[in-house]
Amino acid sequence: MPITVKLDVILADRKVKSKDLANHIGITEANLSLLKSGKVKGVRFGTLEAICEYLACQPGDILIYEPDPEA
Amino acid sequence: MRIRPSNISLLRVVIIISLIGVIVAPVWMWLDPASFVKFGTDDVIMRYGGFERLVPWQYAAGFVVTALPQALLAWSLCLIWRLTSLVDAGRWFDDASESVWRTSGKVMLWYVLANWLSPTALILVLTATLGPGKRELALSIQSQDFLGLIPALMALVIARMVALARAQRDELNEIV
Repeated sequence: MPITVKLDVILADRKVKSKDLANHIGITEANLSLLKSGKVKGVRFGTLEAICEYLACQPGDILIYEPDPEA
Repeated sequence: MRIRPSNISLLRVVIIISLIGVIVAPVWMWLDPASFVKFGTDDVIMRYGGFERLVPWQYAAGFVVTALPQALLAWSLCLIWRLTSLVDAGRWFDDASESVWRTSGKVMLWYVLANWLSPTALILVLTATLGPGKRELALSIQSQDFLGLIPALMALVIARMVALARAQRDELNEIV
């Protein structure tokens, strides 16, 4: 998929633990892990809002569009 | 209307009563026609000379063609019973309930077909021993023959709806 999730990079930059972020958003660590690895079909606006609020970033910092070179 | 245990129990009572009626009627009619005709006369059989003139194989074949639609109807009722068990177990939305809905719809479709063709087959059986020129192939179409299509198609549509809803739920479960 051409949408890449850069959440792990932001977490490392901010030195935030996945567990703390998951607690703040209100989702399980398992689901956060799936989100970080891009194995989910979508992200709710509420989840995105909570992530951006906690990490003080923009949605564009987390989700990157990289066109598929073969497409 | 909320689904409560009493609703399910009532539904099961209706299913049992229907099953008894559906199974007993054809068996009784062919085992003891003399007592059965006191309660309800089968026009086709009486019109073609009654039970007295039938030979043993006609009894057997007549029973089969009469009982086949009833057996399919009984099967469909058993499937509805299975659905009530699934609802009781809280499994009204899983693949098992979807499968039962679909099977129930298909069985009802077969019932409609069998019920429609049953008088034709019965007349064939009843007139098979008559001489040439007196054997009959009769086919009739009445709107009530196809009333069973309504529950059959409804069951198939519900099966499809459950399948789509489950797919949508699974997809939503993948959105965090």
